[in-house]
Amino acid sequence: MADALLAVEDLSVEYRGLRGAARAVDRVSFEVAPGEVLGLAGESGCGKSTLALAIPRLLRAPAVITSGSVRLGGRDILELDDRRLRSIRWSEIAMVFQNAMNALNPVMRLGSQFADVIRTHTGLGRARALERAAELCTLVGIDPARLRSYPHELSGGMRQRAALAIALALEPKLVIMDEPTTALDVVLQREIMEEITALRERLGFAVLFITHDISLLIEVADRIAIMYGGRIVEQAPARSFLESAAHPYTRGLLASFPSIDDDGERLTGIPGSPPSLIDPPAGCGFAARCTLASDRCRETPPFVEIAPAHRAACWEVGA
Amino acid sequence: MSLLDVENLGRTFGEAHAVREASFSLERGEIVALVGESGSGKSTTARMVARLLAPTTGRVLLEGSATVPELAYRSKVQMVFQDPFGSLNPARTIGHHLTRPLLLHRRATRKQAPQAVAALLETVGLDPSLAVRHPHELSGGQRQRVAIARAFAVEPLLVVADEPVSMLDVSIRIGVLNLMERLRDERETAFLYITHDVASARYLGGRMLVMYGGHIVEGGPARVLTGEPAHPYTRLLLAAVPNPRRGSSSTVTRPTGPRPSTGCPFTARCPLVTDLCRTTMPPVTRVADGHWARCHALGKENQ
Repeated sequence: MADALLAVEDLSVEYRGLRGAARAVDRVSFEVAPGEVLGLAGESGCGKSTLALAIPRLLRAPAVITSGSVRLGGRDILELDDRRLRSIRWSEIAMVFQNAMNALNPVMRLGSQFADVIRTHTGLGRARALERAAELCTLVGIDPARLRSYPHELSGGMRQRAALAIALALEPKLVIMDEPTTALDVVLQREIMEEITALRERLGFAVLFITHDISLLIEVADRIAIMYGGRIVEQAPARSFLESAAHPYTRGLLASFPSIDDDGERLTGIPGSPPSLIDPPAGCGFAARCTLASDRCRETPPFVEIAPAHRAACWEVGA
Repeated sequence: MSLLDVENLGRTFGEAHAVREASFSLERGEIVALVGESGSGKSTTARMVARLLAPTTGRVLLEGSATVPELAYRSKVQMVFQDPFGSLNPARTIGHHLTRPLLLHRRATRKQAPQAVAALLETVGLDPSLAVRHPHELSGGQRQRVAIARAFAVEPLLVVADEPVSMLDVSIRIGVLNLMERLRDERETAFLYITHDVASARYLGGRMLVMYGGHIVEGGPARVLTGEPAHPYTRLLLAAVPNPRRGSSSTVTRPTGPRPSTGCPFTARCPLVTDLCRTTMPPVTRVADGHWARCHALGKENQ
């Protein structure tokens, strides 16, 4: 992808502790095209949220980026000085988190929080900034009168809409969304997802959408990447994902959630639990839980193309 | 005689009606799923059934009696909570958690306890050697199995499970659901399964009750209810579930006002709303055998 908006290459992140370093993200590479939705799925502890925070360099100690590059529109974010970094955060790359209550300041009215973001990055006066805030609220379906409310006066769905509106305030090219609907029930989730889709069609931003819910990704993403034990183990177009998913872990995940219209087949889930990141097993991290594992799996399988636009890291499904 | 009869149960918190007019029954060895979104009143109902919360109106009958003494009630009705981190004491071993109910309810003597603990752990698919471990040494899935083992220490007739898998990783949720089903089959234990996940309720089979705004608005066999929902809210809920096999179908209607204090709780979002709905809660209307809903529109279709 020569014209990628975001190109992450060979990125590794470690958490350094007394018992040693835990490698939460292990030599991860992927790209996001302009306007594309890349879905990133995995279970807790697989490294997906660490990866989300590493891209705009929001990680704090003891997390350390140990290798790689994160190129956004040609510049390596990891090389930027603090001033440049501040200028691209929010204006080119914005984030929406799982819990909007934590993302919003509880003692500031919504309007002031919008105004802060807008004024810091654009130099608009307070009155103009609040006008822009009102536009943004309308855009995501919030009554602009709500700008006078405090976050706790809004419902969960409304807060998540507000967080989305603030993320879009400066029309970023990329929005990283880390489980933005996980704390909401399905009806609200559906509303927010429709809102995101409509806004994306209108404003053209790309999304890195992180979740544990593969079925949601199959509906909203253009491409899906599956993360396990700090690595991306499979990447494929969302359209045919259900049929084409090939990695044994992905297949296990797909066989783990009951569907609303299945015919009563018994599901099994995946036996065992994810690998330790502190002292990871040699080779494929999934081998201990995998029914196809063989001696070969003690060596790390390469992440290779197994079909057009479809890559997987598994000896059994490799070419 | 049913194992459990819930009659016209209601609970208010100050001005707010968390649960109104909830009536249902549960048979021995039956799994009933109570499905609803946050704030629907499902957890309040669960806590009243488990006697952790007193009802404002109505009553709960166990084996036909509303006056079962506390200890006897707890030996027959047990609860499993959502958060397996919060429901186990971090300072105590797994063995301690399982020994306590065995001794309190006289299911084992102190001398028999270690053997009984080992048997309980095996029942829920855990290695008996875990008895000497502390909760932090276990994964979330293992901890939830310990919580289930603790509930089964008293050989209960009914287990109220409040979102028992929603905090677990996707790949291990199904194992815990399968465990509940196996315990039902082997021991004839009934389950009241509280969840917001309609697909998991359908997976467990059994009966399903749908709650909205404090009311149980529809009830019936889970497969029938998910296949041919009768209440407009149930239809909205099912349409909102991500379903890659079906593709997305959007029928979402945004609430247009606060929840009404009279009439049907769904009026603010309902595409079929009439004036009658705003003043009068619809009666229970039969849809098919064992399948009912509370909706005025439904009454009209049938007349």
